[in-house]
Amino acid sequence: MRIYATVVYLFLYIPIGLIVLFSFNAGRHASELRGLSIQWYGKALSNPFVGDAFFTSLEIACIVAILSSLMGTAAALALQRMSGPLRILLDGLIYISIMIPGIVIGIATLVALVTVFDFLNPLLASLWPQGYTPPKLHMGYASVIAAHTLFTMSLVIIMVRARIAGMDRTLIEASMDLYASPWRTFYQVTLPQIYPAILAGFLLSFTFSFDDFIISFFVAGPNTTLPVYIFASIRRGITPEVNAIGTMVLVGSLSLLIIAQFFMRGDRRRARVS
Amino acid sequence: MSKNSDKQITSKELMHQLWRYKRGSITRREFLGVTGLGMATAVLGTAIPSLIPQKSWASELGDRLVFSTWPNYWNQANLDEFTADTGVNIQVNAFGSNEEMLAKLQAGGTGWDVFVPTNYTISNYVELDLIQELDLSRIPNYDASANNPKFAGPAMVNGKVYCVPKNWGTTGFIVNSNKITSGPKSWKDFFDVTKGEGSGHTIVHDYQLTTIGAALCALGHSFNSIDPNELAEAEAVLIDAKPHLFAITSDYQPGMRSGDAWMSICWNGDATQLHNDLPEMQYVIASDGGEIWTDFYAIPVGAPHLDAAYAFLDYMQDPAVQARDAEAHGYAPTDSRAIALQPEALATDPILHPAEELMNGLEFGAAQTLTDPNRAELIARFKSA
Amino acid sequence: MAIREHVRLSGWRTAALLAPATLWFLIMLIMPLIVILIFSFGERAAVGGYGGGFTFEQYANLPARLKAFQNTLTYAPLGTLMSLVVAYPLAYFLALKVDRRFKLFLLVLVVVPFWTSLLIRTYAWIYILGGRGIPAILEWVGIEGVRLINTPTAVLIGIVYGYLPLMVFPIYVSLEKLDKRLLEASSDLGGSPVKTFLQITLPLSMPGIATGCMLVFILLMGEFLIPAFLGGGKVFFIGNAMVDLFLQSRNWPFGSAVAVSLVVIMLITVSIYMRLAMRNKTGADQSLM
Repeated sequence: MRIYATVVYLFLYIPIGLIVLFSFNAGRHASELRGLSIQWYGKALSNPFVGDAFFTSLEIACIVAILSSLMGTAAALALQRMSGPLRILLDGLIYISIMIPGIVIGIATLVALVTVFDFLNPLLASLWPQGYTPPKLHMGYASVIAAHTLFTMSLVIIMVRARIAGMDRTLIEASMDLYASPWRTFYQVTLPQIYPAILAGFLLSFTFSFDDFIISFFVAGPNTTLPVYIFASIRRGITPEVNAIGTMVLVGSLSLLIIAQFFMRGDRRRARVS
Repeated sequence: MSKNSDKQITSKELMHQLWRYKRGSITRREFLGVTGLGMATAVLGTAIPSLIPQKSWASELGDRLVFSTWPNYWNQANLDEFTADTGVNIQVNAFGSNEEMLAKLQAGGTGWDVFVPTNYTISNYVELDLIQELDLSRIPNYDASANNPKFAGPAMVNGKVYCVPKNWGTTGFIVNSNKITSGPKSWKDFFDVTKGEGSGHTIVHDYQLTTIGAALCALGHSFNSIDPNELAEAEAVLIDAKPHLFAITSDYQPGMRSGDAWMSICWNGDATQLHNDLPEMQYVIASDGGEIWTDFYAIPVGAPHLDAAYAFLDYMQDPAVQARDAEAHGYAPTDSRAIALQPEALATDPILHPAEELMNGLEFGAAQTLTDPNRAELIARFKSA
Repeated sequence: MAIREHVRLSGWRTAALLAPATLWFLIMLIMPLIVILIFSFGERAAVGGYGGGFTFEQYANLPARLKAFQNTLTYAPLGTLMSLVVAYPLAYFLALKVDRRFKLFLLVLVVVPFWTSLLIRTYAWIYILGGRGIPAILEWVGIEGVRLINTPTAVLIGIVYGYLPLMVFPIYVSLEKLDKRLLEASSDLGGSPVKTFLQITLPLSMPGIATGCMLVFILLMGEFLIPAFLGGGKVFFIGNAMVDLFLQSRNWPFGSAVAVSLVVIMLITVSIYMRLAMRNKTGADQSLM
């Protein structure tokens, strides 16, 4: 058993090890190791497009996570009180948006938005007052955020709904009996019980959006997210710069994890003391 | 703009001035004056070069340029020099085919400023209103008379100039002579070797012009044929060869370099690059036909950084820059001034400048070949099979 | 029941809570799907793109991509199965055989590779499976001429590698909940380890297996990166066929037809799957997590 586990871990980590190893490649081609150097880290860090792509990904992921948590929670709350054909329809939509392959969403969104914009832009141009440049709709931040949020919002709905289903109803009923307003009931009774699911949904949405390549590839327009940039680098002729970026992302996530661990242990210790 | 702002102060110098200041040897003003601009630059400039103050006209050009071109098709030193001179950072996108560039431009919102189309696509781009007419007064380095009209001709559509030439080239195939010893000389040989000696080690391009063209030539038809019968025959050849292929890609250099691939449809500049590094790589212009082409620099409609685009085009038309570019990518410039600047070896290199009679069978790609739906569907079927 | 009536949210509040999500579904899900549905009945414009019209020829032309459909419908289940086979023992080991102190750490270790971009990880495999990687090692040992890269095998390896963490997690979660006393009881009653596994562990871990398989399968049906990188342009999944139609042939109508058929296939397979797998009715708990 243990041998098997070790083999699997090796299987998982050898490619990662190779990536990290080649990020220190002194040679130019990523396929031949020619001595060690950290030049590629310097190049990656000083490359303005890498920084751009990274911050674009970060911004988009944050907005997506916030939007989908808010809308998803609201929808989950509303849905669990509904029944009938509308409920079934919405349930269906939620499952479809999860089940649809990212590539179909990416392409369909691109095609649909391009068509809509091609129709709206001349319209706007003709309606806009003379002397002012009319707004030109085009793919960009908004389209990526919108496309990502579709999927992540459904994720949040499912997770929060599962949590609500397992919630203790009597507390809510009691709160209502005591004439608390619905808002107060939500804020003081429901929310504390479901917030782990909301938090998990938030984190999951963030991760999905930050790492997403397929949808961003199609709908990002002129903007570049980090995964799209990495793909373009691979197409451009892979230099160890890409390896350096990958290693940095890995180390960054690991550090976040360790920091989170620290905080949680701190909390636990404090909880034990108190 | 003072001279000092161009110079970065080193940290050593900074510390020296600081020490002097602390000792009272210089006034605060002097200290700030000497190190003021340099301080921030020294601290941040070495880490984030884009913060270094640029020449004053950088603000007019913007800070970036999006340049879409082909793999291994530029000299990084040229781009770096352009960035150093103007402060414009260049983002390079690489594509393996004109079809892909066209698809992206058709979908819109690409944000490209400069791209590199091939001769047969220009009229299509003009028709689709995707490309801008160029204001040649903004490209003073371009000398129309110095460019061979055979190659530069397609730049003009309906009397208007839409692009400036980059270089010309041929499409043939490259053979690793260490691994493939039978010496294929024609496209027919190419496909025979693919199924024989080179089975499992051959690459064809992933777009329709050259791959279908090669099959057509192997059968004795025209490279640009859109005749459905001839196309059907070509499809049979390709499907027949598919199980023996190593890969279907236009980025064939990594495969050839690593030794996984022994033969590939190839553009002659890549052949130069490969041959220079690995002398066993032999470039063959097929005796039964092939492609001759010119690539141009063009500006798409709606380019966000138009001024930077013109500056870039002007820069790249400088004969010295062209010659340096050719050194790196190995293709022959169309500009006679640039050819004059090339070292003797390159100017007479048989791969770049093949003999006239070898080129007789080569055809320029035709505009309708790009848009023919049968050819498009054929290659898609082939790739999917 | 009376109390439930009492706590029912007023109509407009429900509507307000639901409005943003519904709007999103409408604009970003329904609208694009309708557009490609319309396009799929159209004709390709001369230079590419959508050319209007109404015709079934795109759907009639679908068999031209038969291989792509075949590939996907073969390798998606196969890849799922292989991931399952590789993941299950690992999840079992982590859930039942590892000391509590190391559990979380080892589990996280499984997920960490996920945090490097899939693109880069897959690209590393191009090197490992290429001429300088495993085949070179094999040659050293004397086995010549092994071709791994740009084959369906390479794609399968890439799939298992990419989706392993996704499969391990749900199985681990359900195995973790297993009451160890059941296992003890079984062995006490004279059951062999194999029997214990088959009759107790395996059935009880079914929810995890079902979730993991469904997740991986759904994602695999739409996969395009791994075949593109590791298949060398020779192995086409439906995803690749679609991308090619939009980015090379610029045949939007046909591409839309392929997209629509993919969605239909997924709807069918997933409903069958859910009917088969969700026989144990833990509906609310059976979230995708």
